[in-house]
Amino acid sequence: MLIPAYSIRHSMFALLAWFGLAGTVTADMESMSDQALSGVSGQYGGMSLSGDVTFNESGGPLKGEAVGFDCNNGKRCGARVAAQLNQGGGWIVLDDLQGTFEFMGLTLATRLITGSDTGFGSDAADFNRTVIEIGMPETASFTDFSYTMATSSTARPSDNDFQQVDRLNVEIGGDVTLDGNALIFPTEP
Amino acid sequence: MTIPVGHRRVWLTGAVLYAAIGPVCAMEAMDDAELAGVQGQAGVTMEMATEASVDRFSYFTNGNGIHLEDIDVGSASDPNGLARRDYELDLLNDDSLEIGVDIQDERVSVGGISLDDSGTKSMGSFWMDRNMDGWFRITPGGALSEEGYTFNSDLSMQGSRFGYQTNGHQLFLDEVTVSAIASDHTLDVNNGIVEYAAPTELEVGIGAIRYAEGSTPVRGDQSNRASMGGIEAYMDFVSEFEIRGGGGRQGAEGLQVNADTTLNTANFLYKTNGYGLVLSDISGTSSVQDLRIEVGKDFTDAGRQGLAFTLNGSGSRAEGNLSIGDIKLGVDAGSRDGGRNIGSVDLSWLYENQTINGDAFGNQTYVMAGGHSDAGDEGMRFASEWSLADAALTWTTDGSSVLFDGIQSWGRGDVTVNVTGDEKLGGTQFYEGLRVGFEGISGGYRMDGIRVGSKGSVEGAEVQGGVELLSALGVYRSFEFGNMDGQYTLTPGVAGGEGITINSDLYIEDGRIGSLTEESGQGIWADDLSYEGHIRDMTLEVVKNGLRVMRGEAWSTMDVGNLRVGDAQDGASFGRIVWQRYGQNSEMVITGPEGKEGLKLALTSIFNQAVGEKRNRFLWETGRTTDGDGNPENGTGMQLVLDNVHTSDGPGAATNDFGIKTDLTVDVREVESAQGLQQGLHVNTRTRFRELNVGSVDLVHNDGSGNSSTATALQGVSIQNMDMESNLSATPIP
Repeated sequence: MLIPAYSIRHSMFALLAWFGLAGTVTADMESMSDQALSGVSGQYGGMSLSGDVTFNESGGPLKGEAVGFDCNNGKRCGARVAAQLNQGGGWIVLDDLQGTFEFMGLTLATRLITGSDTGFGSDAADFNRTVIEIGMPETASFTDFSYTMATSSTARPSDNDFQQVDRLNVEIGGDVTLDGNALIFPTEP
Repeated sequence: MTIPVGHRRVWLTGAVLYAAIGPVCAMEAMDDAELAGVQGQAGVTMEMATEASVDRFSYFTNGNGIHLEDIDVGSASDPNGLARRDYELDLLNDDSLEIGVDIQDERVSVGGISLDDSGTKSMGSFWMDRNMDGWFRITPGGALSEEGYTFNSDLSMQGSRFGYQTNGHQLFLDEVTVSAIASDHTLDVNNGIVEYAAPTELEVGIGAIRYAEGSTPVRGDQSNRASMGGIEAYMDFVSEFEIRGGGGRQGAEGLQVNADTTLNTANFLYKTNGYGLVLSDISGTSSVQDLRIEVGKDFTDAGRQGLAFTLNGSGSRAEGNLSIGDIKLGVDAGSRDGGRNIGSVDLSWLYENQTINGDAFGNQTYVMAGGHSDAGDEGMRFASEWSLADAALTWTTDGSSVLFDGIQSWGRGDVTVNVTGDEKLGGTQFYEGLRVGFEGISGGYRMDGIRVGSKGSVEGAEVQGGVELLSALGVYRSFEFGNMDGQYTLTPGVAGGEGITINSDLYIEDGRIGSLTEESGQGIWADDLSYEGHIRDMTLEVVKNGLRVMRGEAWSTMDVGNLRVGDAQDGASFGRIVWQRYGQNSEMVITGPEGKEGLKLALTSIFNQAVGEKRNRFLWETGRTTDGDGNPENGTGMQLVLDNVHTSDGPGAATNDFGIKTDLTVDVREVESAQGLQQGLHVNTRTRFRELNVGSVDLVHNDGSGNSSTATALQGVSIQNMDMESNLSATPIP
């Protein structure tokens, strides 16, 4: 309505990002029985998400600008995230991130867990609250997904005195089976 | 009040009214040759030069009055001149009276409108300049009996102008053309009820919407002034009114109106600089039951007087539906060809009394004199309450539909309207143009969720989430607020031509946004929300294939006191989140995907480096101490702060023009889901940026007594060369 759309979109993105990083947030995973699953059916507000996320399929916006991002054989083509831990110190880098992650049937809903719920061992009574339930997609796959963990002297590959040591190169391909649910809830009621 | 049954009095009333506004008239004798040309030789021609004025015209109900002051009729072009009116009266064989009309260069103006309790305040002045010709025919006999009347007319206005002025600033519709064809309108009086049926074909063109300084309405050519753009509208409709003197809500005097309208077909065009936004293939119905019109005291404790339109009786309701078959953006404004197709929209609504959170809402508006208190004595104020009990919106692209179902909205507060200039008065900054202000408005909306399916069968689909994917468009499952103040000022013209420039300020307190909400009331809630946003020099114009919005400068702070899960009011909280935004020259182009139907947004969001308190900053606070009532106190907990977030054009570049570019495409289509192929709401997002930097990531510890210590966790974060694309489809949970 009246709140400028950009602001809220970014807030929401930030919130979603923080769900993943939050320190006071706890996530538990458990398998849902068929019975529990059928109880979810007809839910009023949740949704099932399917889709894919692709990073730098054809290089990024700095591709070929002589600032360290060109897509020639073996050269940096993906996105780069650099963080400096100490003032004047080096940078830890997630470099050359690219590839595709696909998933089908990731569910998002809120759920009230009460003491009468089964399926949490005997822990349900301790919950007794509403949680955000992320139902893991049954099938997910990575296509040409790769990144490099590195340490670097500068934030950018084009900065003066740039030096970088690649610590770990990761390439992922193929299907992943993910089962169960992630429950996210504030630890302070 | 009773309506006189004797229908002949209508003639008398007309004659008296005419005499009242046309007392100065010159009549000329017709020569034989002219007389011979009159059909049936029974005609009379009247040529009149008019200049007239009425000091005050008042309407009272139950002792409360509304007053029109300084009503003037004269020449539009010459302040001392006369308007010219020619009438040709002709009695036809079927006893009809046909009146040919030719009005040239006439200005009718109302100097002010006030209520008994307005004091020095006035609603401002209104005027109409017109050239009108055509004919009007009155035939004895209505729809119900010989006692009624039937009216036919074909009237057209050219080169006309409508204006509104407050406190020395005026806004006017320029180069207005109107063609109105009335086909067998019937007027009957049945048991004291006036019944009027009006099959009408109406075509309206507004060439430009312009602004001028000065309290005297402009005269002559004004085409050198900037324009908001033009409007063309066509509609073919039948309206039926029942008007009875059934009394108002506040006494025995007042009008009671029932109205039914069938809109057979309509289309609408808004254009700037040769490009247009077109709504076509429009049809619908509307029914209004038990609307009362009177002068009375409003619903607040202050009991302010206003011209009251109230639809809040036990039997009051307004319901209807509207179908817009085709929405196109960025067409050629002349031929209406080209452009991008957004799809079609079907709306249905029911306005009636409802109770929300224990508070009773109805539909009512009181029109009062006086707008924003700092703007001057002239302006309008609408003290309003609304209650949309049930509405639905269906959006269809290429045969697949999404239905936003179970929409409710409610609220109350004051809306003010002024025409203002670029000046600071009484501590308030005003901008040039039409200012719409919000004062003390509380309200909100919510919806059950969405249904997705093939066109025509979508009503039977399951309710699901997915509105959450549209938060980029400012659409939420629910949004309510305890108080909203602010203003939008619309100024004609943008750099380089026609368009609207907007300056706005908005303050929201005690807000709450809901997502993933369930029928039980549980959900995820951005609660205890306050928002302050300012936009300067935002321009809006229709361009080729789209609608372009450019924001000169914008800064805002959204403070979510508690991000809750579970119950909206006392669900457990993830803590407080504050998001400050600051950017210049951000752009949004709304268009459709090429070659098919859908909605596509191309956003360029520039995050500027911090300037004073204007900055991009994200804060998350937990572990706050609570006050005596158990409410957490902001600034007492542990804070994680991402400060001075900003974009840059990349390594070595001093410029910041690329920003974060996001292309967002929304449509409804058959998608692959865990249940196989099914209809889903599909959102494609592609986000690119050259460089996004975080100045620092700090951990701030507050000891609860006003002392804080900051530890920098990360000296800086720099993300470069990002191009992320996602396709997400929302379907019901199986």
